[in-house]
Amino acid sequence: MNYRRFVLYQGTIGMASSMIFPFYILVLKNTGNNYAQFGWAYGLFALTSALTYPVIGRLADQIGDKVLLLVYSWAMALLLLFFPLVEEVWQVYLLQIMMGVLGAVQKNSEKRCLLVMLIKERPGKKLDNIMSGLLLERQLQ
Amino acid sequence: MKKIFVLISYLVIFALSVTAYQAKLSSPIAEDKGHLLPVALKSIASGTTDQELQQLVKTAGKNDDKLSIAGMQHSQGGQTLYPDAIMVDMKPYNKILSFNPGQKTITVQSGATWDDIQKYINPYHLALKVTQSQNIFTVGGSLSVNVHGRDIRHHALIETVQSFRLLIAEGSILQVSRQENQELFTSVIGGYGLFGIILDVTLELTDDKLYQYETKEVNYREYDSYFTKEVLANDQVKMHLARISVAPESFLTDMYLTNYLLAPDQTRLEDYDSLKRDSIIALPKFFLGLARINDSGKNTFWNIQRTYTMKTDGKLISRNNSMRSDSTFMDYDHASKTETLQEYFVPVNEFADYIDDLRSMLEKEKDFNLLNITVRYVEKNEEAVMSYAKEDMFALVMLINQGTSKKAVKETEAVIQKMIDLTLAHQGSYYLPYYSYPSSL
Ligand SMILES: Cc1cc2nc3c(=O)[nH]c(=O)nc-3n(C[C@H](O)[C@H](O)[C@H](O)COP(=O)(O)OP(=O)(O)OC[C@H]3O[C@@H](n4cnc5c(N)ncnc54)[C@H](O)[C@@H]3O)c2cc1C
Repeated sequence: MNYRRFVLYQGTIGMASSMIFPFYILVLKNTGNNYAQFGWAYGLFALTSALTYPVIGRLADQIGDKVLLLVYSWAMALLLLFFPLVEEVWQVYLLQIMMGVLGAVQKNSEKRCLLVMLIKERPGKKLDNIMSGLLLERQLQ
Repeated sequence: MKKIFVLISYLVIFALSVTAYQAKLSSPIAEDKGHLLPVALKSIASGTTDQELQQLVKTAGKNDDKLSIAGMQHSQGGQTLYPDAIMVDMKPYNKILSFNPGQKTITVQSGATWDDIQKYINPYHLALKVTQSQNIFTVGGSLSVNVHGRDIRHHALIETVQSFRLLIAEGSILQVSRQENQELFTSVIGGYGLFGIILDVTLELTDDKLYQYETKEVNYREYDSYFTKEVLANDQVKMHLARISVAPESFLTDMYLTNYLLAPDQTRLEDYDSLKRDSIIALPKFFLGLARINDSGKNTFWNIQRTYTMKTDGKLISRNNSMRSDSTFMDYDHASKTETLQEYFVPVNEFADYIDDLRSMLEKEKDFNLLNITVRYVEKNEEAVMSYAKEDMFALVMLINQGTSKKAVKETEAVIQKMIDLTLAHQGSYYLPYYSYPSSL
């Protein structure tokens, strides 16, 4: 993957998710019948994301980020088709868990992608500089 | 090849999702403003002409479909809903058909609201005779529960209806009045939509007048004799409204009231007859919000409301404006709670004893969140078959904040059934547009 493609990809994903986000929140809120359920749905997403992050990180080295990003995009495209059909809270929870896993896939692969490109582009630069920059960014997210 | 396959599969799944979603939409879940009864309907339909509505009824008859009828859906007991039925939304059927200022009558389609009528007749200095305190309801919905309001000289709505047309289940249209199909006249009014669709209605109007507020504080013990001697016996008083405290400091003892007297100088009506719009609601909304939370909030709400009302003494208002009170400040949106109404009628001379019993009963119900009680008057009127005003009565409207879970509904039901038993023990009756807490009719 080259830099141009990467930016295009990230841009598209970024735009799509920020366009969906307000509606997505509404779906969550309307399905749950109290704010606690809304909170749990969100918590489940964050929790699965956190739990799967390290596993996916290791996988990424073996599978390669192109495949992972592909998996992410297609899986999201499929998952989103289920949102309009949701009626019960447990369905929301299930979707949130899957979204959590996919979120981890995306975040992991994008970082790996960027890292690989940076190493290629500036072979002279010390890797740990780039790494700490990325780590910082991860923490800020 | 592989790419095309993936793309086609995706498109197929996309199409499936859209179809499934549309299927879900076409059996919509509807609920009334009580938010306690979501019901899955077959569909929602409407019509703007007699023919369209007739067709709808005939087709439903052929397919053995059930119909339910809905106006603004402010009734709170699912009266407008029925599982798997077609709900006929009457709101688009709302034209004003004819108006005769000389004879003071107007004919409107039943989906019209009181607000629609008020806007139309106000320039002619005419006003409605009977409406609820607010003007947000449809004519059809109001006729079907036979509403009453603040006016103490006209009573239940039925009194002001000349005639209407009724679309019955067979698909034919009947003319109904006190002369024609008289039996239907007294059962359809107050009949909760059970006899057919009310198409258009001819109502009697009265003159718009200028009223002057008179406010007063009384103790509940003096209220019935004050009302009989100073209000009913004084023919200058045209409307009346009272509140009894639900604040812990003065629970069911303190009252304040407003009388609407005919203003001495009617020529000033013109200065007051432009129809008021919603006033600023942030403040009442805020204080009502406090009352929902706890006892001290209720004390604050009561004191503020009372002080504010007492200050309105002497103010002038047109009849039309007094029949379009604000209710938007009551709008309440909460994920697991809702606000429901109850209305009980008790004979005038039972009032004080009734309140004593009610107090000792409610003092034990610490979790019952009662926010407001309004007291009005209805004169005996038994013209409608399902009449609530079996004698001259005070009508107490209660606003209750309650949970929507099954458990919360059960808890509220337990208290409300006790209140109903108590009301019946005092020769009273209860109003039917609200949630079906009563265990029988
Ligand atoms: C905030 C609030 C204040 C209120 N104040 C008062 C008050 O001051 N005085 C009072 O008497 N009541 C009062 N009510 C009760 C109110 O009057 C009734 O709930 C009334 O029925 C509401 O009218 P709607 O248009 O919402 O009717 P809906 O709730 O839509 O319908 C009520 C009934 O009428 C039937 N119906 C509706 N349209 C037709 C039609 N065209 N033909 C045949 N049947 C039809 C329905 O099937 C249903 O059974 C109040 C209610 C609320 C929520």
